[in-house]
Amino acid sequence: MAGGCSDHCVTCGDVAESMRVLRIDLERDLALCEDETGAHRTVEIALVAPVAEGDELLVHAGTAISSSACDPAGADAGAEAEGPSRRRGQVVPAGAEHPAGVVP
Amino acid sequence: MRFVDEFRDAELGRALAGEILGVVEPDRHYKLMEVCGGHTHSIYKYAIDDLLPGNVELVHGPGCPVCVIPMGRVDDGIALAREDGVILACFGDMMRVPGSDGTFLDAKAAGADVRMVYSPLDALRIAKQNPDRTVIFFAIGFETTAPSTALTLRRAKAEGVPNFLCMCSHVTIVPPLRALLESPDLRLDGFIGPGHVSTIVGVRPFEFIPADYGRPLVTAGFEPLDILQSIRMILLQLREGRCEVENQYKRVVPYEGNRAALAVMAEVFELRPHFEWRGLGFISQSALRLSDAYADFDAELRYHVPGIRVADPKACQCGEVLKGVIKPWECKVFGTACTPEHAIGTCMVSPEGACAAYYNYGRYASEREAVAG
Repeated sequence: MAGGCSDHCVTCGDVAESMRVLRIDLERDLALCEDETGAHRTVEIALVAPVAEGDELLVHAGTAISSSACDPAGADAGAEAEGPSRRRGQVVPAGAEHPAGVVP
Repeated sequence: MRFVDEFRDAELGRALAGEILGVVEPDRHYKLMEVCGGHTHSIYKYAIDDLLPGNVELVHGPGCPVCVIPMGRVDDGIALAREDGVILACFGDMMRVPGSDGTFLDAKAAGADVRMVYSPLDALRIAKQNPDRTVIFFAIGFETTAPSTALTLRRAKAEGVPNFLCMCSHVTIVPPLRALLESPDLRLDGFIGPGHVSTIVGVRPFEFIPADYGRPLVTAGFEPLDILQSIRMILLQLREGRCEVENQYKRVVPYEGNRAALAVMAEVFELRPHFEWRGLGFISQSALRLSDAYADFDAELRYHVPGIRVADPKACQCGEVLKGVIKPWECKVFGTACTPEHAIGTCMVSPEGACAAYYNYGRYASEREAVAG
């Protein structure tokens, strides 16, 4: 996601970075996560619980604000949208099928 | 990387640019505002405006939280950092934002204990490690960041960490948008809506824009294809005579937002009656302070803060840039007296600031050539 790049404002604004869950501390609503560079950070997971090891989280300022386990597209079923979206396990960018974007 | 590489596909980008060309009416000028600084950054990083027809103009909005913090608020933070026994913790970009008498970095160089943190949780950790000191977290950011501060304050309360305080400068996105729409300076045709703010608040809060002001808004992601697609969606609405809120970023943004985040924000914060925004002046109910339930953690109640209003430097035109009235390179000091290394205005400090985005990716040069030509 935007914000994973080092030239972005890392900590504020409207950007967030994608991180993968390595370990979970359910008692404290914290998870040890890894970013795309391999760096590890402790992340608040209270807003996206439940999460599982291996989930991808969208993390902003040390707090996960969205999880790959959530399905906003599903929650929005019926609402207008035509942007790149998940359809039957695929990421479908604008106006065209994309062969590379398979979501497990 | 999943959800990233697919949205940077150059071939699809060119295809989308072709679709945009097919949607625009050639004799009409379109002025679209990207609300969020993250979008501004991506637009210039990926040269997205080069793919757009000449009559589609992108205008930068006020969505960089570092950029909208007024100088007086920085002075207040520095005053707290100079208090005996205080450790002031803030995000990295905030360290270089100039007040009337320097930055947090300058205060640190002069002996104040100012520490850069990645998250409010890091500031809480510092407080636990230093029980004989008071740690003040200088909290900034829109609704994307506010839940993180709220969760940390709730954690501090639950764990009983009395030496952790917060100076809250969180702001909200809707009031400045309404202020911009009321501004006679600016005639906009539509908005590229903030993606991650919407992850928290949902898309419903933006419905006043088409309803009250007759302008479409499309909530957008941050990759190049996200932004191109959202522009196409806005232009298509305009062509078809529709005016709605649409959600291009459905893979992340739920219609109703994140209810857990909204709940913790409602518990920890309340609206300030008014708050000063750099360049936009005072806007009613546009910022957050700690609620009565969290008054014990409010640095502004524990310490005296000067609260003096400081005018921006005369040479600086951040206000006009933040309102989209002028382009960054039209500012008198852009790229000369004001650079990322020696910023006069906040828009040059943060990488999300419009001026820094122009400066870092060389857009100012081509813009000037275009005007000269």
